[in-house]
Amino acid sequence: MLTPATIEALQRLVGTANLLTEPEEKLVYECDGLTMFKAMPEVVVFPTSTQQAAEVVRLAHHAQIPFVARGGGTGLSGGALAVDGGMMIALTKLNRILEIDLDNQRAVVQPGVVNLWITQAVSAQGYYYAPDPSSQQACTIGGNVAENSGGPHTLKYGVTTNHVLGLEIVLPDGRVIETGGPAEDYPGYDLTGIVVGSEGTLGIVTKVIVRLMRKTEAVKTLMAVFESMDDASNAVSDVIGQGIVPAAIEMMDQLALEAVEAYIHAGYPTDAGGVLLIELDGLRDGMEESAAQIVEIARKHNAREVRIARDDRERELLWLGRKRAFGAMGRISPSYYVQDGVIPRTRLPEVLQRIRDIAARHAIRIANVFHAGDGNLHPLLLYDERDSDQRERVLQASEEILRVCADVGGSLSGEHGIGIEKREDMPLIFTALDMAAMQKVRTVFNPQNLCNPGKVFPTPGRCVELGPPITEKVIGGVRIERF
Amino acid sequence: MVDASELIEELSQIVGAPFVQATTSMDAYRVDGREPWAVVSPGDIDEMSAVLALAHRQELAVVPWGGGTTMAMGHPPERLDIVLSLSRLDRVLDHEPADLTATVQAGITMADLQTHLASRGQWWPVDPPLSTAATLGGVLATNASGPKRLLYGTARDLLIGIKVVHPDGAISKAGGKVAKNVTGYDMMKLYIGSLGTLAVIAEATLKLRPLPPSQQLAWSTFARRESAAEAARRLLTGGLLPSAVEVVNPPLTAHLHRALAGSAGGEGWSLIVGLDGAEPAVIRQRHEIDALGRAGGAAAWWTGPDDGRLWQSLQERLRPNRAERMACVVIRVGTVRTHTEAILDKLAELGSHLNAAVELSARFGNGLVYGRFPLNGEAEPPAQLTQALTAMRRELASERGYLVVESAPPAFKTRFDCWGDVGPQAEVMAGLKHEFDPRRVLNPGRFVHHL
Repeated sequence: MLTPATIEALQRLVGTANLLTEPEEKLVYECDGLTMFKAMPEVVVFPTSTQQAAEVVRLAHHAQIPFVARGGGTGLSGGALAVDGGMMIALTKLNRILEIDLDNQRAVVQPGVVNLWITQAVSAQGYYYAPDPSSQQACTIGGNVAENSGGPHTLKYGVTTNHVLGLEIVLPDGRVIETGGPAEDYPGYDLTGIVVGSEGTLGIVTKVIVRLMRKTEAVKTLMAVFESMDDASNAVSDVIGQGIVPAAIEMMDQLALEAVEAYIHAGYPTDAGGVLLIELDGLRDGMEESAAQIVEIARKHNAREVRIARDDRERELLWLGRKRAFGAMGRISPSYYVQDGVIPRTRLPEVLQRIRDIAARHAIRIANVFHAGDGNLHPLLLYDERDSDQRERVLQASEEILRVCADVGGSLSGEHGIGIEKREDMPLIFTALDMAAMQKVRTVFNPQNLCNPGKVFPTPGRCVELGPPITEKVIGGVRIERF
Repeated sequence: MVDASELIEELSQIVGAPFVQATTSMDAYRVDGREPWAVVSPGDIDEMSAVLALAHRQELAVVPWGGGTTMAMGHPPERLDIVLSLSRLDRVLDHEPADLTATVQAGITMADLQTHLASRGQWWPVDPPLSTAATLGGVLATNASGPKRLLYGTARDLLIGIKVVHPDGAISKAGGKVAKNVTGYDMMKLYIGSLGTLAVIAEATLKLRPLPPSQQLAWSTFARRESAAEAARRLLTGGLLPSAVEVVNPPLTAHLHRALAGSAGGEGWSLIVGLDGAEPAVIRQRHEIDALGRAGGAAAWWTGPDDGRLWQSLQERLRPNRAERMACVVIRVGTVRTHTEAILDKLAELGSHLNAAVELSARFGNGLVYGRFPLNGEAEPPAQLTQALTAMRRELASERGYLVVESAPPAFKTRFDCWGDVGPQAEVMAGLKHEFDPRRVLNPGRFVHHL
């Protein structure tokens, strides 16, 4: 697809050091965090300025080459997968924090900035960047913007879109526009808001204006141990129902606890049915009372034990267990496949039961680690990827879990995005008219569908001869093509 | 030319004759001097869909209408055929207290919504004025907000699902009933603040909060603006968690005292602080704010329960009713927090030059400044005012700030672009308007760049 002339033009634009064309160089870019699916881009380009990024896009647009942006490559729905080959535009060299304005609680960052770097840059002065996905040590802000990333503290503080005030974006034809800004309530349509969460299909973000939060005076982290997940779920509903809004409520089941404890040694009980990690933050005053209320609620739901972290170290250790939970699965399984469904909180016990049934029926183990406070599930389906039968059972089970989420009035993705992974499931939630409205937006920004094609929306068909060769096809409830 | 009588008949077939108002005076539904020839009130979303499908076929110009409290906003409509009233879509469809979500129809008044939610100890923490008239749909379409946005955010942070009717009658939804959702594009962000120019909001799913156990006010007055602003700055960086921090100038302070006779006296610049939360936290913050005020030379201070009347009174002053609209201009400046005091200074100075008692209120933590300029009833708006606002707008633009006119008489609007220039974004916005409403059915011409 890329002619020699185009490749030469790219070389002149970014320099040979910032252009990968050889297969062995490009290997790592054939997939993102959704390692099950691979597709090789023809070239990987590393722009080092907005100007360069714009010219690269203009070139792609002129030559009608599909392109996809990539940040840290940690995405879990295949958002950075180059399904149609073409050009991959890696933003990792746009990795500077350009401006920090503490008085106005704003920062301006390039998309390749790693999420945690922002908090690290302002922490000493008592500030932080709130959206904290568990991958925050590796994921980049550009990716966070694309996926409207969340994290455990979104229950109280919202997700990425609530902390992004403005963007600089390269439109798919190479024009650069600025949307929003450091102030609030700009006149006009909220272009910043529609781009956040659009999974890189509307353009390439080259600058992000983020909101910084002040650290609160006090924080209290509790761990409550339950005999059953049902008890834990009901406790969560009770806490919310009683008017307490914790900063975070996380849940892990026994299987997850086993893995985490083997890995981190955070002091999690491995024989419990489920554990809740609850964090309160805010002013000191009244926090003891809220904590006491939570302890009472936990006991009312048969909690075996409630532990309160006594200092920062203990708090961090409890959180480390939760944040490294996915990685911890390596202790008990060669591979895992994580889902991201979200459901109304009140349906948690019922959905967890249905997941248990699905696990039993497909003879696979499923560990549950998730944001109980906002009903965002992360069932971890454990398997051995070398065993194709297990892989198929995992995909089947995963599809069934998504249907359950849709069935109870939830949604397909709380944080990871639709990508390619769940695009065929969109009709579970949205009608053709619903998607037509969204397509209008894509028509305005990305009329030729060169920018990250094949993501979010279901495909009517596939142009087999243009894409990379398909090596495998699964039929029967789950339509997925392996590249 | 539109054959109104035939269309009225068709509309009556859809919604029922009693719900097509065409014979009585349309004065109550004027928008900047234009009157509709019919006001149509569909009873449900399907009727609304059919009405819009008809309007689309006939290329009518439609103005969606909630409570009519913000009809002064925007350019005058380029055409106006019918007003589409949301008044009959006024129900709470669903309220799940344990999930902190509620799904409601767009025509419900804010007051009715909050009353319903309060019965289960919850609220939707958006506090714009005129709640007995303002509807949820209107609040969303204008992104209306109040002083407590400082703590709770605005509609964009508190909306998780939406159902709209498109100008051709198609019904679509986005989001869902869950707060974390990256399934499809976040269409809600487009519809919020779009002034009903892309689609008509019919239903919305809201993210709720528990009602705070305690709500109090702390009101200090200072002789000098600098002292009030300094106290506000300290408050915002001092680690407390106020729900609202408002700095109000002397004329507006005086108005508030008159409106709420019985509260403590005090002239000058006000610092009004809202405190929501658990009682111990509220009490402690009150003490600290009083101490802060005293240290800053506050002339007077008052604390007491927040029953909402003060905020209502403040905001109503900045949301003039139909009669008042002819006699004043209300602007909103958006800038960063550190620039807010300078804007207050500039606007106060402008008031002096014009010899007009301008009333100013700054949502200090959000960098928003509202100003109400009295007009003395002349046919032509004072050139000095429009020139000064133009200059101010240019200055603001150089540091990514903006100035919009939220309310003004039609004569003023012909002399001054109430929205301003949004820059290169305009092309994308025009593209969106063209995709969503190619026949320019909804509020044609009223939005930015006369979209």
